[in-house]
Amino acid sequence: MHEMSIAQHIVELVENILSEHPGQTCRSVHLKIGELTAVVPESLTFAYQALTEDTPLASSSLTIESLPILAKCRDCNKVFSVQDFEFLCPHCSSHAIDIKQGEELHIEKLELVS
Amino acid sequence: MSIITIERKILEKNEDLAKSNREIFHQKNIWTLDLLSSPGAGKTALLEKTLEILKGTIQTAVIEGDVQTDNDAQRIAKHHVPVVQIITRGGCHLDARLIQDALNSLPLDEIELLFIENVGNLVCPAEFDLGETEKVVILSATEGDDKPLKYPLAFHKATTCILNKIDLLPYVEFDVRIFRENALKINPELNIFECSAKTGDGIETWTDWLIQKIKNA
Repeated sequence: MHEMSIAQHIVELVENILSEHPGQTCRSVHLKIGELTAVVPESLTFAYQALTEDTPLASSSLTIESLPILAKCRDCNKVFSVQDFEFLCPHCSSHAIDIKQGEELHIEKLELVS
Repeated sequence: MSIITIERKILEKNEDLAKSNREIFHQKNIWTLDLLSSPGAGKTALLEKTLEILKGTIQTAVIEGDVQTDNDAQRIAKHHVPVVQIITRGGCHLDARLIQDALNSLPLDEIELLFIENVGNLVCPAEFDLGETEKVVILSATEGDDKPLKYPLAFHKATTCILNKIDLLPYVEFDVRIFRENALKINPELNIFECSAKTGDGIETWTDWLIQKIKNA
């Protein structure tokens, strides 16, 4: 259940940012979560709700965009989507690949209201 | 309504601390391994056997992570190496701050190889950078040859994998060939060892590799 720990980091970051915007409340937190992270969006939402209950963030919610795993082959230079965690280039069968997307655990933006 | 674009990493605080741990390890020339496994895969037993063999050859130390009890640290202390127990009190993984605190209790100038035994769990510890040099994932023959597919992140982040309890292979339905195929599908560069911490079978291939790494460091 590392979603709880990740949710704590989110709450802390959002609280810090809000302190720079006095008089505003947060309505929504937009996240980008790569599919290679073992984060379950439902568990993260649940943890965030549990942590923000009865706090100024109680009326805010998470909007989670899942990012599929993309990799680039070092041999044929093609970018491809990694299916079923098979880290193999579908074009030339090379194992020499670099992950380009899928490891993200990012806060992208906040929606604030006065 | 206003929208603020921030684009920040959620775990940036942990990453900053991990970076500072990594700098300490680099400065002190300590090679650090973060050991991940499910509960009961035999991490502590493997560590005990490893310490026994490395004794007198390499200066080692251990950080033990557990949800409760210092049982594992007591087992390690019998091998006369510096050991620090971190009790997470419910926390399912170690993080970079816990490691930073633990480092204050270790004689860093006298350590060549530091083992961090993470909390028994194959999901959460994979997500948190501790500043380690490498992650090592351990699984046992009783757990099933499809484990890499079920916990892809741990097998993807690790550089080395140890299949433990190979003495039980005749009694369980574990196909080593399928396991290897599954593990290498997730991580084609994974370095795999097969051993039994109980019988000692295969352990020296792993410890020879460790000695070689330290000598070349």
